[in-house]
Parts: sequence; structure tokens; C-alpha cells
Amino acid sequence: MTKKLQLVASFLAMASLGFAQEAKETATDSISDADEALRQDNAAFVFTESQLGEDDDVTQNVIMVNSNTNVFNSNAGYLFSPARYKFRAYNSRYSDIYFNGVQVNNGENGQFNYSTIGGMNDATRNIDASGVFEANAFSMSNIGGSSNYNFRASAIPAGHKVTLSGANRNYTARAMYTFGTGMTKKGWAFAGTMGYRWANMNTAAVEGTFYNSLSYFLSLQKQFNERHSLNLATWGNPTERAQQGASTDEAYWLANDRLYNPYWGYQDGKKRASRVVNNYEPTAILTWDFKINDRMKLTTSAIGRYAMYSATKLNYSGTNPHPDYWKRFPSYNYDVWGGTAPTSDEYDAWLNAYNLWTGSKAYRQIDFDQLYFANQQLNASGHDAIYYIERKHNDHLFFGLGSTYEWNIDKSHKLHVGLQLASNKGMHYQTMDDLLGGKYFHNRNTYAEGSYADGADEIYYDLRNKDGEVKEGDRFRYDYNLFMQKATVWAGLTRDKLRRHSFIAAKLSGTDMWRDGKMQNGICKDYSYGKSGKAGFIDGGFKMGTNVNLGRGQALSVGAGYEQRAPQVNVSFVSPEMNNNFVNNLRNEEAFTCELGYAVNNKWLQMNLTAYYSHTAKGTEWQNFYFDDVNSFTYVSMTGVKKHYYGAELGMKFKVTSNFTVNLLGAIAEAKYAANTDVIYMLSNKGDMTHDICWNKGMRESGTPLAVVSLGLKYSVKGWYFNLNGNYYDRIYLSYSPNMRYQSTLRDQITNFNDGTMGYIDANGNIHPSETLTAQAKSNGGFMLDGSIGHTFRIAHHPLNVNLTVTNITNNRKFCTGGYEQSRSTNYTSKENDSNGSQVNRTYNFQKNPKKFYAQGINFMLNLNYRF
Amino acid sequence: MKYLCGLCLLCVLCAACQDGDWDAPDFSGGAPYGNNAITDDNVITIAQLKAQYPKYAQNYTVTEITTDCKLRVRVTGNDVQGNLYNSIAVQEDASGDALIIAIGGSDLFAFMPVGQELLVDLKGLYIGAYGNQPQIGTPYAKDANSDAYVSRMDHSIWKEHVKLLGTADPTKVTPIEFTSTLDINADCGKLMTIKNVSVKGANGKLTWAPKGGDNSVKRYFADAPYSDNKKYIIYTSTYADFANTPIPTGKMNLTGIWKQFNGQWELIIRDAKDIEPIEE
Repeated sequence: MTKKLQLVASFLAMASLGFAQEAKETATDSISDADEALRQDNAAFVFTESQLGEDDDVTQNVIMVNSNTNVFNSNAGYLFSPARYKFRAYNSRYSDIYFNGVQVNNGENGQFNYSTIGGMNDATRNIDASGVFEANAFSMSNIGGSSNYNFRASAIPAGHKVTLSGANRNYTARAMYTFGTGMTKKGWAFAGTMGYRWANMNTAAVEGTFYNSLSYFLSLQKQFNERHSLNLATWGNPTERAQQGASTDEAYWLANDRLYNPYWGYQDGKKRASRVVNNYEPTAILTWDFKINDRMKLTTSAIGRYAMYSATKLNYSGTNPHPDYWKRFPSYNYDVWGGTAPTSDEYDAWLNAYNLWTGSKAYRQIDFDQLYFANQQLNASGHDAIYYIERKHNDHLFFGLGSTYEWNIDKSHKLHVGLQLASNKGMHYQTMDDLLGGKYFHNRNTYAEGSYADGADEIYYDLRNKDGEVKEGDRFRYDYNLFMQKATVWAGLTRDKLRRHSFIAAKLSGTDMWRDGKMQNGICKDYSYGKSGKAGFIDGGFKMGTNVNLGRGQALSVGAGYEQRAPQVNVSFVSPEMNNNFVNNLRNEEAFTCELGYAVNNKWLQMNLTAYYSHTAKGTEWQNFYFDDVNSFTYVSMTGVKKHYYGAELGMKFKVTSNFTVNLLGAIAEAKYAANTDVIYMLSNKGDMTHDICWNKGMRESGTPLAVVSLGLKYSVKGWYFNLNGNYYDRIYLSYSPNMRYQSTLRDQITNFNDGTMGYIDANGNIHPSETLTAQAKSNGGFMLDGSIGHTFRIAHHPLNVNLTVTNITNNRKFCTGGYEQSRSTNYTSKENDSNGSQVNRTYNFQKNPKKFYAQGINFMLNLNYRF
Repeated sequence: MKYLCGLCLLCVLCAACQDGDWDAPDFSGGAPYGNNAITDDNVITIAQLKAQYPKYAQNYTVTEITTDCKLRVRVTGNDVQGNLYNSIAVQEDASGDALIIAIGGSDLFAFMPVGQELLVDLKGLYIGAYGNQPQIGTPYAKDANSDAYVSRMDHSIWKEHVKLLGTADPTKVTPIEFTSTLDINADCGKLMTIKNVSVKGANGKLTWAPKGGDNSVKRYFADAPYSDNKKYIIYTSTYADFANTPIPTGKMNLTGIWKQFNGQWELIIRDAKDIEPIEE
């Protein structure tokens, strides 16, 4: 981290010498814009890490829904961010992000990581946001919309701006400075911003986390003449932060804290985080704007990005050392969910665990001292360390080129034609971060040990370096690269005729992908090292829509689109950590979407009412997790995924008086699997594949409210502005666990553990599982009241904006915002041995103990910015 | 620009890595495992303990140890390769007497390696037998109508009752030779080596405990007098690291903890290193 910061500082210092200050213009933002600007400042702040895609392990990235014309879309993303609202519950790969016209979504998972532009808020305000059926000048909009950020130096207002913020959220303090020259008479424009966000283990809202992020952005533009302009922009934000883990309601109850975080512990009396993310994605983009003539222009950008993402994790080859390991809970000792009454011994054991959890904070956290001690004991006997901190690396080298030709054919027709090229090399490997006092570690598959003879090839992760010791910093377990190359051509035609605005757009793409293994895995020794074959896909689609002006400020819009989408690289391999095999039956995903909208826009009312329906088919999903029914890590691919998305959205903005506005927003959505899904999975201790069917029909998209409603009041007087919003969220589902719904698992449950509530098997051998077995875990939803107050002062003739935002004023701490079901079986199919060889069933009920996240209680952010 | 440079410099100066290198903790005040407050007064021998609690070897009896007494013992067997499950075997240096201590935890070998000396505060723990094998633990009954027997204690309870003494010294743990003349009631639980034996059915492919079926597998000796299946077995968990290693076809010396189950000797091999083929 320190090296990265020094690198950044040197670069900035050198860069700054080259830029002379020239004529500057007075800041042009009006006071009335200040509220919106502050709102955006705050918006970027309250998103949690999982929303922003900062965590590569979390797939539930939010779509930052936005639109320049739609009341719902332009407000929902910010208003509902405390509940991790995702636009129409789409995965964020359905939303495309462009910088100066070149697409920048991650080359492997298709998502965009908003955290990579965090802390440079003033540079990211210029967005051309396009709704699902809104034509734009840079793409055929995705089914979740598209946004194009303008990073040209001339787009940033001239002048200086200093922002200082204090909060009790993910980070405690933030400072930002922005400087812009605007376009000078000599045709130069320069803009830069620098920011720092900070919290330590004692100040962060969630105990045991910290935040340490520096941001920079530099942009230089040269307008050569009226026709040609060149812009070079570069930015990055080296960030180091500790993560929060989800836990069960029992843990929250025992800790008496719904922000309890099991990911940290004590070492020598000091707090230490076990999961620390380091992320730095230095990016540079060169943009050439060519005005061919008054009716034609060409915009071309080339981008290069080197993303360095790594995340640590406490791992083990023995007992799980995490404090919320299920065997440490009181409910491990007897069935607290209405089973038989405990024996006195069981009750005593329950009470003992309860007293330990509630009696000592240290017991509720990781005991690093004990882990060190264990490893040191093992050193003496020459054994490998059994506790260690590993670091997973997901690095990406990305190059992209986007070029768009715009032709204003006549007064009513406009044509856009574009080309997008992308090349991504994803580098995935794991290193030893800290052996926690251990001296020895070997690159062996501990899941496979015991299944094969001692010394068999299968127990080695890399046959090319069988006996090599793993030292701190060394790569182990897996090391591979994934390559993706993609070319897209697209075109869009808009037509404004009479009262109708229409558009049609189409695109065509070709994608290649392959894997290059750097380790020869003993279980897959013939197909793990070296390059795989290439998989190629041709995809494309079209979209059309029209907007009819009905008069008197009313408009009706309708749109429909169909496309095929090549599978993402990150779901295309069965077990990329182990071998080169592609998923069988890998096909283009099909996506159909349509929308009907009605809008009113007059002096006192702005309203949008939209109904939509989307259907995706032939999709592919991929997960990996520990599958303890078979005592192994497992890699799961689901193919032929079908999903329905439908719902309605309403946005209303009443202008009651010139300074009093009432906003009403609401959405009801459905987003679920339309059919059960084929599953194929591979165990990390065997090379063979198992086919099954996942009974996931009806499972909802998780981690987002599928029902939201908001009533907002906005009042301003004499430079003061007040906002009050009451938001209600409901129908929040937790991420379902596929293996608990495998047909084989359900059959086993019904056959061997049926207490009369699990369903039945008919005479033909078909299973009919009940809701008891398949119901998806869910949050109860909740209400939040958020408010803000602000004022603009004038200091030395310049505006000073002060804004205080208070979120969750009613301090609702019972609001579960998301989480996931555990992938362990309550009715353990293998059963366990007790110490004397008898078989016992588990008393701990995993089904009733999903891991959850809860909303933070009342929290605030004070924001000051001064322009001069 | 000077503002930008100034802020840049300030940020770089302020920004420092928060998750830096960590020094190993200082354990000079005692191991961070167990109860360092236990003192070495009232130390008794295993023989004295058995004399005080004469029901120790009766099946399905479990007796709470109510007197203030302690044992000073050394670890001879643990779960290093997953075969001795949820328990450790201990012996006294002087007498060689042995006991099994049942503990609900895995990775016990990481905290209590072979050769580690322990001071065990017995008061509040229970003594009894399972299959006539004496052991220390806590009571367990399958249900309210079943008899309780001594079983694994919660790991947290064990930590309250044990103190680690010094560092492990494996040189002080030497197996004695197992013979058919030993007294099973007196010698069960000890670390012993049976010499010059082979296993029935060993053909170069037969493994110690293949997966599938039960969680443990019995193997039998091929050589008299140990070929009596009712008196002598080799008992191996399918979760042992060496479970799928082929059994050597020739003669071997086998070391392990010799427990008893209702009069039958059970050899629990601790580690693949306990299997020593004899080169002919």
C-alpha cells in the first residue's frame, strides 16, 4: 500500500509540473445545483462494499440506476441505497458503463466496479445516462440501462473546490480537492482531483473494519482547432479496507449487536482484521474528438487499465477458527427449534456456550494468539502450519477501444454507428500472506488427503513443484489466466417526426475466450497446465422504441428488444482453479425485454409510470463453496438458466409551491427462476463430474428489495434546504443455496429424514418436496426515515455549502438488508461420529440460521464544500 | 496547482498501511491455550485416581471427580492424522499408566503434540468407561431414558482444566512392546508397538480404511496369536490421512494406542509413520 501511494505521489508531482495555470473562470454551478451535488457526494458514500462491487466474491452488485428524464430512475439509486436496491433486481452485468465512449465493464464477469471511481466525485458528475429504451450516442443500451461518463477536462467546472466530510459510516473522514481550468483561450484544459477517505478500527461504524483510500484523477485536453480535440485522462484509487462478515441471528443476539463482525480478532491485545482487501486499478484513457463537419462527428477512445485486486482470508486445514463456526453456538447443543426437551447435560452445554459467548468479547472474535501458538507447536514437530492467511488475487489487464460515428442526417434523423474492441487478461492466483508463526507449508490438497494413498499425485496442487515449500508471498493452490477478446459493432437510428420520437438499434459481437493454467493439478494432471482450447461465440440483438407525445405534457412510450449474450468468462469454466474444461452445453444467453411507459410533465407534476417484462433463457451461472455432505470443496455450474423479471415503477414529483416539492416513488418487482436448472458439479478432491437438477424454480433474485415505496418532502427557503424521506422496503430475499435443492439432496431428505413435513415421493419415483424444504430465506423488510439539511453561506464572496444527512433517523436496527443461506445440511447425509463411534444427527439447524446483514442504525454525514 | 500538490503530499503522508506486518505474540507469560492459573498442588497418580474412583472401568457408569486433585501426564497420542478422533491418550512418565481423555475438538495435536506434558485439574470432570476403556470426559446420554456414559467434553471445558507444562519433548515418549500376555484392563490406552506382524488380505491394493460404508474399518492380523479376530483388531477411521494407503503386504512393526472395547484390543495407528514395513 505504501509503495503504491509513493508511486502515485511521484506521478502526481511530475504531472503537476507540466501544467501551467492559465485563465480560469468563475465556477458556474448555481446555488440551486448545490443540493444535487451534495446529494451525489453523499450517494457515493452510503453504498456498502457489496453494492459497489468492491468485493469480488460478492455477485450482488448494484446497478446505479440513472436516467436524465425519468423521475423514478433518477432518484431510486440514491434513495434506496441503504437497502442495496438493484434496478429491477438485475445483476449489474446487465448495465453497461462507458468512459468517453468506450465500454469498461469487467472483461470476465461483465460487471462494473463503482469503487474504482470512488473518491473522485467531482470528476464523475458528467454522466450521459440512458434508460433501457432511451437512445444514446454511445451504445445500444443494455437491459439494465447504460451510462457514459465524460472525463474530458473541459467538462469539469473551472475553479477550486475543497470538500471535507465527517461521518460514522464505512469511513470516518473524507477530504477532496478539485481543480479545473476550463477551456483556456489557448485551447488547453486541465482538471485534477485528489481525495482521501479514512477510518480506522476504532472509528469505523462496523467494529474491526478500516478504510484507507487515496484517489486521484488528472485530465488534460488540447483543442487543436474547431475540428480536433485530444484528451488524456488518468485516475486510480489505491484502497486498503477491512471487510465485514455476515452472521446468524443467534450470533447477533449473543453479541447484542446486529453489526457484529466475525472477521476480526485480537492478537497480543490488538485488533486485527482477517479479511483485508487491497485494490488499485490505475487507468488511462486517450480520447480523440473529431468534428468532421457540422453534421458529422467521430469520437474515439482507447483505454488501458491494470487492475490489482487481492483479498485476504483466514484459512485452515483443521478446525474452523472463526468465532461464529456453527459448533461454537449454544444451539449446537440441542434442538432449540421445538424438538425434544434437552437433557440436563445438553442444557448445561447450551448454557456453557451461552455464557462463553456473552461473557467475553474476545470469545466472539478470532483468537489469533491461539492460532500462532498452534503453528509454533507444529513447527517443533516439523508439521505444516494449519492456520494461515491466504491472499486471493484477481488482477486484470484490460485494453479497450471505442469509436462512435454520429451523423445528423437531417432535422429528424440521427444515425450512430460504433465499434467496440476489448481484450482482457485475468490473472488469478493465491499467495501465502501470513503463516501466522508457522515455518512450514506445502502445496497439498488437504481435501484429497485421505482419499488417495500417501504420496499419490492427486494430493498435489502442482505436480511441477511437488515438494516445494510455500513461503510467505509464494503462489499456491491455483494459478491461472483467463483471456477474453471481444469485438462489437452497433448502430442506432433515431427519428423525431411530428409527435413521435423513435429509435432502433442493433449490435453484433464476436467473443473468444480461453484459459492458461500455470499449475499442473494432480487431480486433473492432463488438462490443467497450459492453454485450453478456445471457445468462440457470435451474439447480437436489436432494440426499438417509440415515445409519443399525447399533448398537454403527456407521453406514452413503448419499447422491445431481444439479444443473445455470450456467456461471461467467469462462468464458462467448470473449475477454473483446477483445470481447463469448459462447461458443457455452454451457449449464448437469450434476453428479451419490453417496456410500456406513461409520463406527465407539467408545471406542477412530473410523473413516470413504467411497466416492464424481461425474460432470460439459456443462461449460465457458477458458484464454488464447501459442500460438507461430501466433505469437499465443490465447483457448481448451472446451465439452461431461465428467469422472469417483471414489475412496475412509479415516480411522481409534485411541485406544491416554488420551494416545496413532494416526491413519491414506488416499485413492485418480480425476479425469479422460471424453471429448475441443470447442475453439474465437481469436487475438489475428485476429478469426476456429478450431474443433478437444482430445484430452484421460483427462487428470487437476492439482496435487493423487490418492493419499495418512498415519500419525500423537499423544502427550501433563504438558502436553506430540507429533505425528509420515508422509505419502506419489502420482499428482500437471501441468496439461496443450490446444493440444498439438488434433486438428490431433496430425495435423501424425504427418504431418510422425513418428519411428515418434507413432501413425498410418488409411485413413479418422482419427488414432491414441500415448501419446508425449498422455501427461500427472506428478510422481513423495514422502514427507514432519512433526512438532510443544508445551507449555502458566502465566505469571502465564495459559496460554502454545508449539508448534514442523517440516515435511519428512527434507528431501525431490525432491518435485514440481505445475506445468504448456509450451504450445509441440517440433516447430514453422511452423519457424524461421536467420540465413541456412534452415529449422531446434527442438532444445529442450518436452514433456520441463514447468514444476514443488517442495516446500520442512525448514522450521519456532515459535508462541507467550498468553491473559490 | 500548489493546492493540489499540497493536498497530495498531505494525503500521502497521512496514508499508511493499516494492515502491516504483525509480530508474533509474546507467550512468555504462558501458553494461550488452557488455564495457566492451575497450580501443581494435590497432584496424584493415575493409579491413585483409579483407587479413589473404583467404578472407573465399569461400563455405563460415570462418576464426577469431586476431590481437588490433578494429574501430571504426557501426551502419547492425538488426532495428528485424524485417526484418534476427539481424544488424546496420555501416560505418566514414571509409572507408564495410561488414560484416554475425550475432548470435543479437532486439531488437538496442534495444541497438545506428542511429548507435551499436561497438568490436568480433575475436579469437576468425570471418569468412567466406554467399552471398558477408562477415560476422562463428561457425561452423555442419547436421550433421557438412556444410561449416561463418559464421553467427549466440550473443548472450552477442557481448556479450563488443563495447563501446558513447558514445550513438547517427544523423546520422553517411548512405546513399549505389545504382547499377548499383557493385562488388557491394566495396560489399555498405552502407546505400544506390535512387532513382526502382517495383515490379513493385504495384497498391495487393500487399504487401511477405504471410504464408503461405515466411518471406520477393522483389519485383522494374519499371525498367531494375534490372528484371533475376537481379541485383536486394527481399527482405522475412513477420515484418517492414511486411510487410502495400501497396507504393506509383508511383515511390519505397528505402533499406536492400544485401546480396549469390551475385552478386545483395538490398535489405533496415530500416524502413517507408525507403520514400519520390515525389510526382508
